[in-house]
Amino acid sequence: MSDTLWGLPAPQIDADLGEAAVTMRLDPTLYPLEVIYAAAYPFIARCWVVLDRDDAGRVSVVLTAKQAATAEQLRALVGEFANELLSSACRREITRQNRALIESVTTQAFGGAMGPPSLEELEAFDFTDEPFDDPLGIAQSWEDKYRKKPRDEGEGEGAP
Amino acid sequence: MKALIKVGYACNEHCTFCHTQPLRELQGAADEVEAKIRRAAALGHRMVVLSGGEPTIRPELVRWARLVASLGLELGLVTNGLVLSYPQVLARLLDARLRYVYMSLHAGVAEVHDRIVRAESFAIACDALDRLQGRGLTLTVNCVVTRQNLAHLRSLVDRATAWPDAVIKFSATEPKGGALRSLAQVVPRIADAAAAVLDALGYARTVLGPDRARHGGFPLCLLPGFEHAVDDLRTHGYWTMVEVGEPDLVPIDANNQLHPSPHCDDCRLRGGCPGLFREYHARHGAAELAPPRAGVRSNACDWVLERREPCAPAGCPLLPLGLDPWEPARHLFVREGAVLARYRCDSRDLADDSLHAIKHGHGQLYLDASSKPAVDDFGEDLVKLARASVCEGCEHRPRCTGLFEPVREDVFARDEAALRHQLAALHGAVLELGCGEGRLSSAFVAAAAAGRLRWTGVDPDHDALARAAAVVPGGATIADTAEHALPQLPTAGFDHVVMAHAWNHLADPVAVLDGVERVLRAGGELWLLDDVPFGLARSQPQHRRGRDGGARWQHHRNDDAARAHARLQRPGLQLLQRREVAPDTSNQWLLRYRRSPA
Repeated sequence: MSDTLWGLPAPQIDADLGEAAVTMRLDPTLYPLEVIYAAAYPFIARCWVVLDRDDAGRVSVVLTAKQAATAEQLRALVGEFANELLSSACRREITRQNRALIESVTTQAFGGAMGPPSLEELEAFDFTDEPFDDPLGIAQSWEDKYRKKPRDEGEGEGAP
Repeated sequence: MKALIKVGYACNEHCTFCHTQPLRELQGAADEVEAKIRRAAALGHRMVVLSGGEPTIRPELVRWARLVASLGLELGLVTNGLVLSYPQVLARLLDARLRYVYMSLHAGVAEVHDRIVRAESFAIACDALDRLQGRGLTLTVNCVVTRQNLAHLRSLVDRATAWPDAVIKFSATEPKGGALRSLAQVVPRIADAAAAVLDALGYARTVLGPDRARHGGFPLCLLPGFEHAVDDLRTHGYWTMVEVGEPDLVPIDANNQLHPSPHCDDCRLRGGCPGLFREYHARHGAAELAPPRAGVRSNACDWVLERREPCAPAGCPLLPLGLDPWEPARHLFVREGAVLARYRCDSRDLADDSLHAIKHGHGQLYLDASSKPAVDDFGEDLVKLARASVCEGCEHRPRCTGLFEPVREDVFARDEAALRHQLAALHGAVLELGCGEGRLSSAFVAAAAAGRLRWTGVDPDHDALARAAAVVPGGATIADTAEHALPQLPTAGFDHVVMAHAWNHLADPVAVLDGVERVLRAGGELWLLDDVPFGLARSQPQHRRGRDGGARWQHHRNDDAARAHARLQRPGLQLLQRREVAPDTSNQWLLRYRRSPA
């Protein structure tokens, strides 16, 4: 049986109030699979989670509450999952942008845990592992350097 | 040889024509790139060339360079060069054996270049080029010819006067990626682009001196006078390349280009010509090409020894090496006993499809067992190579370069004996066009001596003809070409016309066929036999001797039986016999026709 949850987009979301289950169909071009995995994981304590792919290539996520749930509780579940998706996507993007920095910090952290290097180790250390200096931003990707930033809300409205 | 490793497709420019524009978000993992560098070293490459996208924006750049150097390889970059304007980065790369830079610059004026790359980078690129001078680098400045810079190519030549170490290259735009998406705005018609490049090449010869400007991706027929100046992955010595995510290095190829048939079939420039991009041809056809170029061409290529190593005398020695990096046509593995020899053909005299036909179609590869500059006795000088029995039924056969082994049978002697047996049965008046010194004419001696056969030999070489006349006593000879001799001969004066090893040497086969039809009696027979191109597996010294030996090309075409038969479609000639060339035969085909009464 399919029910509609008030305020949520019907084509992407089905609910089955009798089974306390809700199905979300996600566009994989918006949410990569790894983002969906990351978003789904926090729900495994409260829900049974099933991932699948439909004929249109969309990823379907079925959350079935482990305990009885009202329509309002299911609606909250969907909202939480949607927010978790966005959060995971953002974390992934930040990680991508800061990969070199993270690797460098991690390496230094491991290095610190092993104690100070010996003179021989310092002599053999390959400093070229460090990314080269880019004071002029020449090595920035074109997208980072030139792509237009999204306008702030309201910007341009009422301009003279 | 070079390996081209794509490290990712992100870039600090955003060229309108960029082939990898749809992939800009995709970056190769660092460990994947490092594994490919090590694989290139293991395969025996001498240089690793990093490409993208833009390889210099990767933070791992210097680390990769150091890895390349530590493996004993040289380093190359395909780059827009902007990062090389940092002196400290350039110094570190030069320390890591940077020897080759293939750098983009699409005009000699900032507003044009920057419009194409959609970034303000012209001044930085010029600064980098200034810094690259005097470093002992092999340096190419690549200009992709689009609608936006078509009228500005000379400006790049003017700029290049400041960069004496650089060769300027003008490249045709491939309709792919960004260029395909904005085809009408970006990709010029090939004839227009070639005209602009021809002008720029001529200008460069005046301003920069000889051999400082080259071209890539243009049909050679559109660049008369600069056919020798073609510049592509093969002329740069690339063997393999690998895209992000591909599991192993694969041979470079030109599968995105074609030589339109039948327009280019007989063109003597075909071997080294890029042809047209397939996508361009699909949209615009071949009408812009110049008429095919007539003239003589090569009918043989060398596969030159690269490496010999011990191997098991049975089983497949190629599977453990991995099948992907070897070129199906240009690599050749020969096992003799417990030794595996690897050869490679780098010739541009014949096109890739012709080399493939030599090796896998007609199967005409031979081990050169002589010390001569040019083989002159095939049976004596050559040992046939054939696909090893271990390849039979192998599931990898369709994509494998194949294992070959020597065949001890003299296929030339065997096939010639069969032919001579047929010819010895002829009687009546026999005209032999291109008889040479009478090697085949000796088949007629017995019949001539018995009075059953009258032989007339035609050849332009007086000395050879004199020797032929001695072979067949009582015969007549004409010291001239077939084209000139045939009009002197009586109509319907011969029962048989034999053309052995002459068809592919004829400048005008149609005129000769007209003459042959006229001199043949109704019911008489035309015997046509000739060779397909062949390949020689040679050592380095043998290859050098052959290259420097001064042998001249003599073939006006390289027809096999099928192509010759297609040209011979005439109402007056009826096919009686057709013997094809195959991997278990010599390289000689035979066509036999009967002259119809009409």
